[in-house]
Amino acid sequence: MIFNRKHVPETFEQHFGFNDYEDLYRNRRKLESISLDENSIKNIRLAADKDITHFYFKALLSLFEAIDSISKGRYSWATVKIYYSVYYFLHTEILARGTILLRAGGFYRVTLKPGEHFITKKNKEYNSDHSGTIMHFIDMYSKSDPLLTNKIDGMDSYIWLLKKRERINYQERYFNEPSCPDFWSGVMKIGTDKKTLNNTVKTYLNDKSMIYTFQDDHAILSLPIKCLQKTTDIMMKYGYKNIVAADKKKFLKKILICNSLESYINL
Amino acid sequence: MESKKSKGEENVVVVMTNNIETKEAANIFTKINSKQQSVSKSLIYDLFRELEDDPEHEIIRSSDIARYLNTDENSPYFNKIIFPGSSATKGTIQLSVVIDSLKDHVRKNSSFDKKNISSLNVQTKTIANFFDAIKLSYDEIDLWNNSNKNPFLGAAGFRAGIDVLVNILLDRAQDEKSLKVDFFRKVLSLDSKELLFKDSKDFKKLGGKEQIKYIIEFLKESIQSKQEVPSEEDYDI
Repeated sequence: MIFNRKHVPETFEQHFGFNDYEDLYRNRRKLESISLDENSIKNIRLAADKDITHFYFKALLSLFEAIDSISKGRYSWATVKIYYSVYYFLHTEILARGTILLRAGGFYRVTLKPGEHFITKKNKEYNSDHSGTIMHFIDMYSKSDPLLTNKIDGMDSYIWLLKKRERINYQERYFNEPSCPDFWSGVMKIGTDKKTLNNTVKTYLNDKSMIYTFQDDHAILSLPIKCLQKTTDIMMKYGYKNIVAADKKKFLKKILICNSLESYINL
Repeated sequence: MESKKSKGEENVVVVMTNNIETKEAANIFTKINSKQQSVSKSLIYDLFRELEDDPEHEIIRSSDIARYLNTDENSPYFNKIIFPGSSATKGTIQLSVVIDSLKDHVRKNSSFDKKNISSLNVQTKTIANFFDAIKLSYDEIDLWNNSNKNPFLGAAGFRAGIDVLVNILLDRAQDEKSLKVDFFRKVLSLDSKELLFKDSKDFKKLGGKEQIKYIIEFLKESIQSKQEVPSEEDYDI
């Protein structure tokens, strides 16, 4: 089966003489000894810029699809899509801030600066793409990310969301439809039907003090919306503008049912 | 109105004054429009009780209480609450914990409102006075501000305190018609020689939920042990 892999790992493998992912995995010791130079950074940075556009589109599409599902009373897969949107936003932010993640058995990260080396932790949480991404993110930004300055149910917000996705995907015996999982109750109170959902989204968008973001009955929708706002702010700060391709923009506008989010398509 | 007839049906708020010069009117206009700040939504709920059914009420009210507790210099939680996004903070309790502890109790027809403790000001003062009563006991041994020792500066202590306040002490407050610090001090009867500390052996081995239960029991025991038990002859039978 042929498909297009992400630009960053492909470029990295080509630059440092690895044939493919398997070759990188077999020689992961070599990975740990690699030190970045100006030339490799330049190439990887160009690849990262391309990946950012795809991650951002994936994040928006996942969030908009989730919102559409919510308006139709479908909460289980909406929960999974919301988790994925945040997962893609985190990847977008990591790349925009100048760090790349690379899988070679474990999950490694390196900051794109001359002389930097790949690092990971010998902890199973760093092995999977999902918890690995979140753990590396927390290690790097726990002191600067506003979404990590309070906890939800005693957990870092992204871990809380990962757990909710795992509960819906793997742990619960059944999907709750036509009811909805308990952690949607606060969102439902404000309104989730087609008439009220835009207002609910606006409430979370305008919540500058983040009073909803860390409440376990609102976070499921408030958190991804805050994550969207934060990621776009960071992308603007690092000079990423108008990154969604015209045909993809058109598609996003077609599926978006909340006009309060439209400006984020045009970033 | 010519292009859209329904515009003519809309209400417009008009402020009118008597006998003032244009210059004075301009001054008032400038003052209002250059200095106006949005009013806390919680205060609007106090003015218009019909809005208390607003689904956002309980979160907004809880966060406003937290804000007052954090900014009032006389509050036991002055500068102790960590607001999201604030990186440099000496806080010890997260805003999310304060909101989560309060939101079920500040809505219409719940714990506070059932006792007619309904406005932002009185709800805030009640919570501040209750924790102030606890603070005074820890102050006697100079440990209120020690977050390594004082369990009420952590999430478990705040949650436990609110639980005891709404489930036990509001009934007593209703009987006594008092929400003063002295009233809470008298009922709580905390002895500064028998206070609970975070680093005590029994406490520190517990998980978060067990810690909350432990603190609730500690407060309950203190309340009950000091309650006057009437002699048998004093009972009406």
